[in-house]
Amino acid sequence: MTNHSNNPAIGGKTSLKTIREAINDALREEMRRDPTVIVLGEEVSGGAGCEGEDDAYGGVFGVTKGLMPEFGRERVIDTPISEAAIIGAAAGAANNGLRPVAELMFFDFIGVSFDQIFNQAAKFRYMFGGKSKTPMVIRGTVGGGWRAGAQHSSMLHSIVTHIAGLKVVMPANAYDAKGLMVQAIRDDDPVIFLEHKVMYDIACEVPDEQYAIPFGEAAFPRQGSDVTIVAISNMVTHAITVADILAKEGISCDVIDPRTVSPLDHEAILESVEVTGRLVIIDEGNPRCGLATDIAGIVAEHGFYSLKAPIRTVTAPHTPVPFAPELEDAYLPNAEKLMVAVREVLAAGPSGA
Amino acid sequence: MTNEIKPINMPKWGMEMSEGDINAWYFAVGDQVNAGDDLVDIETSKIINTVTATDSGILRAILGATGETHAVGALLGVIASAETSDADIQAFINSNSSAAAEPEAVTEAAAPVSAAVETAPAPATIPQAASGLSKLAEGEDDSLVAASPVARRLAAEYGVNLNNITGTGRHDRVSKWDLEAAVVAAGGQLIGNNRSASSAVHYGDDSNVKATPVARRIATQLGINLLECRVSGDRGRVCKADVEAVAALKNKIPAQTDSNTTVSSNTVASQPISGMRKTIAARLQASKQTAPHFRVHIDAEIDALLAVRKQINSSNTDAKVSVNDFIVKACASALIKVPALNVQFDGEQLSYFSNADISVAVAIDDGLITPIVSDANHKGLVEISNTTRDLATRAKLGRLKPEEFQGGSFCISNLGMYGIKQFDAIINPPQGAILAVGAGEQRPVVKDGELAVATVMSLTLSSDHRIIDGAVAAQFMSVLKGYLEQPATMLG
Repeated sequence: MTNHSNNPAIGGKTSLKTIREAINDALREEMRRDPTVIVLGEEVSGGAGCEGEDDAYGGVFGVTKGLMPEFGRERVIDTPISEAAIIGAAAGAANNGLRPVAELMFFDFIGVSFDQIFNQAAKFRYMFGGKSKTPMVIRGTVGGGWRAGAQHSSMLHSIVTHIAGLKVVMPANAYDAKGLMVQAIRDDDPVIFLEHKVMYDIACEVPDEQYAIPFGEAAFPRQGSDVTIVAISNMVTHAITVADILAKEGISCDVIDPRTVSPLDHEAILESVEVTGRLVIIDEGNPRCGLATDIAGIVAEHGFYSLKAPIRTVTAPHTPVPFAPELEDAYLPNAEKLMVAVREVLAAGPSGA
Repeated sequence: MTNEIKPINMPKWGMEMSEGDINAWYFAVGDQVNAGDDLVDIETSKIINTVTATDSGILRAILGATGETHAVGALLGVIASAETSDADIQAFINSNSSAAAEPEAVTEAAAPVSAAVETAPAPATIPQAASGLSKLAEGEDDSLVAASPVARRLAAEYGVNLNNITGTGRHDRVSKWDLEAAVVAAGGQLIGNNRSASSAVHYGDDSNVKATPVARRIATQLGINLLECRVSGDRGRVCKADVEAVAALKNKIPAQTDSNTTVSSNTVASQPISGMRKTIAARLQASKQTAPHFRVHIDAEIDALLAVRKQINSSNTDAKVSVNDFIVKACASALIKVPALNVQFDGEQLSYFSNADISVAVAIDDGLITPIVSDANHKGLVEISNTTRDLATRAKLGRLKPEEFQGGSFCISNLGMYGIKQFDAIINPPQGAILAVGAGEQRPVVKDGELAVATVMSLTLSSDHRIIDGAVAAQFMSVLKGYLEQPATMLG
């Protein structure tokens, strides 16, 4: 998970860090650098009002741990359980000169604050002719596999990707998580930053210094010329697994991690498909109107003559995420399902492998 | 060291040039060459032109010997200082022309079928027929140049330094397409690219081609389109041997050698087909196969025209206006009057022109060429006459510029000087029509019920029925006849 060959070279010291630690790093350094950066959400410090437990949680996933003791309650704000209030307050603060990082503990609860996001924050800059900006970040956890049931496991990135005016970021490793969070905070538009809850403890070498990764530039964790696999967030893990297995058979995969789904680096995908002629997209979202169909549509429209085989998508089925562990495991896309699809695509077409 | 060594490459003159023949070198190995000197004459399918030196130095090596055929971009020679060691020269040649040194290998690399590329993993370095790429190889460390991963990978395969490429992709990074455009601009060939493969020679549906069942089966197995095959079977069918011949040509199976073939006592002088003959063969075959030709025929009396011609030529001693010049002028006027015929068609798009650029077929050694009288509708007869004579003279010397014979929307082929009464011509694609002109001769004609003698010329228009209908062709011929019979009306 440390192949960042297309990232700008960054010198200096690196440390092994988890995604959780990398995001915490990014938040802390940006708060030190820029006094207008604030953090708010449910229990982002935790233990408010309890003697000696000011920083009890640091968020239920511990991502914001240690920020409150350093920056104080004015900049690290524990809020009531009201997503509408959290996002509404953040949007207003952003309009008035702060750079808030608001946390939705589970992104499934976006519904409660959806008007604030899609009909307000996403449109301010557009409707006010550029005179207003909304430099807010909305963090939230997404994805299944955490045994959290249908209401805490959704993969809802396609809903926000659909909305013009939002930027949507989905890191797949600690290096990208830090660089993308820095960029998200410095960006003048509302950014949805989606963290996969099963990935928090995955670690890789991360530079100690602060760096920003520009939005809309895909990473290629594996490079090859036989088949293109597009994967995002936790699905990148599966794509790399499949690519490494196939590499031993002499089949090379171009694994593309777009890193941000809005803006999407469709250019990188089209370029790769021109080389490989075969495309599989793996996405944890539901199959209809999702990221997988979106990318398939882009390639079908702009890269059709490069294709040697039909595009295949591997997604969750069109149901909510089941609670029963066996069913949840069966529900989620994984390396085995991806492998089946990749082999089908390799076998199809005029010069099947 | 390499930057002191300068390549001499096969140039690309015009879109259709893919290879050239080495006609003559002006220098021998060891000679001092100065920038601007004429270096070598190259013959293409259409012209002979001279490559001039862009650098000064000693001509250290000649890789394209006189009489050889080389692909566009191939390394033909090397210019370097006298101090450069032979080893460095050889290393430069090896790094630039691994494929180009062998003319045969070039021909294979240029073949449109790239089955091998699809199945085999890409080589570490794509052997480029085009050593013009060596210019793109130079430069400082390019690891910090913003480039997409695919572009960076391909740059390594092409041996291109990314510092030499202007990025127009996302965030101004170098995209795959930027790289490929630069490679093509430098005379290189794109390899293993699905997109370019799809735009390669494309034969249509062959299900209606008459073929023996075995031939059809083999063709399917070998991925050969029956339209590619000659027809030598009985009852006009493509037979097994025809398919195998194409397969052998593509090196898919070894050519069948039949030891029982009896050698005929008739002597045969075999010679390789010339570049021009190849071009003529390919273009006219494609025209006949893709453009449904239909012809309309009309006779024009040209006694009045001959009288005007005499007047012009006797009043102006410099003028030698020919009957053909009148036909060019009349066609130009008729094309303006019937613009539906002033058209090019590339199979997808129609292009109509506001001026009449008329191609005139000129016979030259072992072929023909069609230089263009541009804007003929705005030119006077004397100007048309002088332009045509100049073009024809230079065509015969092989000294036409590409833009002087590429394009045009209408063609005239005149065989009247051989006494041909009437003939049909094949359309010169992408043009929509061609006029075949016979000899003007005295013929009996009936006028007002009386037998009379007139000078009559037969004209036949071949039109592409995909884009030109019978009524349009007829209207054009009627207008043309009017102009030829009453030349003064062309002034109006």
